[in-house]
This record gives sequence, structure tokens and C-alpha cells, in this order.
Amino acid sequence: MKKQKNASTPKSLDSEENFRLLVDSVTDYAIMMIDPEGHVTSWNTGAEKILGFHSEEIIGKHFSCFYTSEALASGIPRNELDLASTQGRIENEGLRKRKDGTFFWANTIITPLCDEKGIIFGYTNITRELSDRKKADYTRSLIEASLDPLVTIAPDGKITDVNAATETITGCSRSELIGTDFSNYFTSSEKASDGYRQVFREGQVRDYPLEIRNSDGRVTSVLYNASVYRDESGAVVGVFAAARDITERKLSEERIKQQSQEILELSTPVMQVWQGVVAVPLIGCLDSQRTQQFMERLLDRIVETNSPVALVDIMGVPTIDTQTAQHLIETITAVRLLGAQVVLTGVRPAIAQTLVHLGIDLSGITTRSSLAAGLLVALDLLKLQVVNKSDNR
Amino acid sequence: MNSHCKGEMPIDTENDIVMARKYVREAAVALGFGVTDVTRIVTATSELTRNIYVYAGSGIIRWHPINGNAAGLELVFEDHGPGIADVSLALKPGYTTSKGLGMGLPGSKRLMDEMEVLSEIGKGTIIRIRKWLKR
Repeated sequence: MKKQKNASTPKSLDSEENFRLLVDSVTDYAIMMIDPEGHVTSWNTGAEKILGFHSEEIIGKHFSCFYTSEALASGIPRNELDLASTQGRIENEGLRKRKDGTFFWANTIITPLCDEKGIIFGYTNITRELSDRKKADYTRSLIEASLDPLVTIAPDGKITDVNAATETITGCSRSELIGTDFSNYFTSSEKASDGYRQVFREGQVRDYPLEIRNSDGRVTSVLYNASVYRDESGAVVGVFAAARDITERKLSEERIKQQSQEILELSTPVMQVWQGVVAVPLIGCLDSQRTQQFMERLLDRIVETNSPVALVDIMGVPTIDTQTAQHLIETITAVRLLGAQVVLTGVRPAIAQTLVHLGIDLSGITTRSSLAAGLLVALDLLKLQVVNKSDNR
Repeated sequence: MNSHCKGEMPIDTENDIVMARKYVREAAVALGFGVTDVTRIVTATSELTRNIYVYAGSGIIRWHPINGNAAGLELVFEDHGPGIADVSLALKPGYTTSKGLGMGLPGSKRLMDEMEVLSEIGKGTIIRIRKWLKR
């Protein structure tokens, strides 16, 4: 109260007015009073400067308008008043909203005001905008909270900073990691160094695949997104790299691969339809891998069942290009080498025309439009005849 | 005409050939081509995308409807592969530099109404094919 010595004379202002002047002269702190429900009842110059509202705009409004919508959704403003009431004071840090909608990181102290009987008739709220250092702490806390391993790399390839997720995935502590070569922690150090060099060269790299080797030997497949970061003058300082664990994705890719292998096996059954006749209904596209499978099974079954005739049905093959045709011709040639014959069945009109246009010569191969017609050919070759019982009588 | 009728996709793996056939089939059906023409277009697509895969390693296929005096479908196959040294020789049936039948390129030409082959050694190949809707 020393300062007011000068101000008190000669006009002799009362102490309440003095106090108001004091509070109002503080511009680095938003000082406000709030009624028990949370409505603003007084507002100083600092509050106007920091939060952007003039006193006539804000008095009577609820102080929750300084909070983020997330904070409102979790009822934080009300909780703070309740906590201040029970604890006698509350101090915390968090994001606050200005009139213009921008946010700042703030330290807030809320203290309840009680009358002689101890009944709360309001609160003081002192809010201060925190320094850049505090903002940096906040940013740091976000980086540490990230589940993705984050790392910064200097132009010489040395690690300059890591977050907690990087410690977990490598099994090495921050102090062990910083200052060592980034490439040390991967199954292929060459590929890792190529990666960060590419970032320095091109400015950024997306989905760069690497495998992180943990100190316990475990390997994690990751994809890196990385970009260069700069100082105030715009000079490149280093690379900021974020990894994403793709172990799960790799597993499901493996599973799909395995399943398609199983489907491959399933979709080329070779069935014995008569003594001496096997049939293969081909379905889907005939790539080289499937043809290989189908050829092997067909040849095996022909030998196994000692069948002189094989029916290959292509009704379920949507497209026959020259490669598919070539695979078919090769298969048919291989069957002939075993001393058996192939009847190609299920040749649809559109396929027949396409084959002719393509100039594929199937003249040496017996073909039929349906499997039934093919079976008759096969029976004929076996010198068998299908007779109608009623005709025989 | 809907969005199915126009599109593009890269050809990098053998599986992309299957996908290209599927998309082109959808486009041709949506444009109103009959079963036989759809089969012809899809077969030509299969040949030319396979050529990209076998000879150039990778490339791109684009397709779009042709509107105007006559309606139809145009497909463009582009790669940055080794190129074709002698286009007229490559269009002769039975000529092949791989183990194929040597029927893909001349066959595709016969399957379609029009085909243009632009190729430069060391630079790549662009093949444009068209099929007109008969009314």
C-alpha cells in the first residue's frame, strides 16, 4: 500500500476506490470477480487486454466462455468453482479462449470470497498468459503423448531428440539414443541412411518402409513420414521423422496372401466324372501361377486315375487372352505327352469370336460348347455308349 | 454415362491386369456394348496391359467414352519402357521377343475398330485403341 501514499493526498480517496485503481492498473493479469453461479461481476484492464472483451461486453456473462468446447463438454469450469470452494483455492494451467476465438495457454487461480459467516458470495479469478517456455512445455507434452515414435535427426545422421514412444520401440533410453547414428536402430542401416538423406534432399518423404530393431532383438515394421524443419531464418536444421507401426497391417496382408493361396487350391478341383474321364472346371482368371497349379493337379490326377480323357471346362473364365490361351495350349500338350486327350468345353460364343480375332489356332484341339457335349465325346473315345433304357426293351 | 466410364490406373503388378480388366469391363458394359464387344475390349485390355507389365515393368491405362458423331470407348496404354523397335514387325502375327505367342498386338488390333501405336526406342510406348458402339 506504500505506492498509494502519493495518490491518497490531496483528494483522499477511500480505500475501496484505491483498491479498484490498483487492480485496474494491473495489465499483465486478467483479474475478475465471479458470482457464485459463475457470472462475471467485475473486470479489469488486464482482463480486457488478455481476453479481448470490454467490461460492458462481459459483465453478466458466464466465465465458461473463456474455455475450449472440449473443456465445456467435460464440465471443467463448474468443477473448478466447486474445487475452489472445497479446497479454498485452485490453480491450474490450460487453454483459454479469447473474444476473437484464438487460444492461449494460461495459468488460472480461482479463490472463493466468503462473508463473515463463511458463505461464498463469489470468486476471484486471476488469469495470466504463460510464457513461450510454458508453451514449449505444452508442445513437448503433446510430443511425448504421441504413440508414434518421433525422432529428430541432424544433417550428419545423428539423433538429436526422441519421444517416449521411440524409447519403447527401440528399447533404448533417451540418453542412449541422442547423439548416436539414426541408422543404428534398423535392420538395414543402409536403407535407414538412404531414407534421411532423401528427406534432406527432397524436403520430405512419405511412407518410407523400415524395420526398427529393439535392443531385445524384436523387429517392428514401420512406415516413416519425415520432413525437414527450419530455424527462424529458414535454414534447414534437421529432419523430423514420425514412424507408424504397421505390424498389424503386415499380419493381415500375410493372412490375405495365405487365404488367396488357399482359394487357389480350392478353385482347381480335378474330379473323376466317369471311369477314365477327369474334369476340371476352371473359374476366374488364369494367371501363370494358377495355370501351373492347375496343370500339376491335372497331370497328377490323370496318372492317378489312369484316365485317357480330360475335360477342361472354361465356362467360368471371363477373359481368354493370348497368355491364357498359351497356358491352355501348353497344358493340353502336356496331357497329350501322357497319352491322354483333352476336350475343351464351355467355350462361349463371345470367347470363340475373341479367340478367332486373336488368331489363336485351336484347330488341333477338340472343343465343345458345353460340358455335357464334352462328356459324350469322352465316352465315344472310350468306346462307350449312353443308351436310353426304354429303347432297349 | 456415369463415372465408371472414365478412369485410369497404374499397371505395376500382374494383379493390376486383373483389376484393369474388371474396370474396363464395367466401363464397356455401362456404355452399352454387347457381350461380344465387351469380351473383345476386355481381351484387348488384357493383352496390352500384359505387354506393359512384361516389357516395360510398369505403366498406366486410361479409358474414357468417345462422344460426338459416333460414340464409343477409347483406351490409352502408356509406358516408359524400352519402346518397340519396329512397330510394323510387332504387328505381324507370330512375331515375339518374349516367349509369348506373338499374337497380342496384332490380335488386339483385330479385336478393336482402331489402333494407333506410338513408340520411341528408350522412351516408351503409347497405344490408343477404340471401339465404336454399333447402333
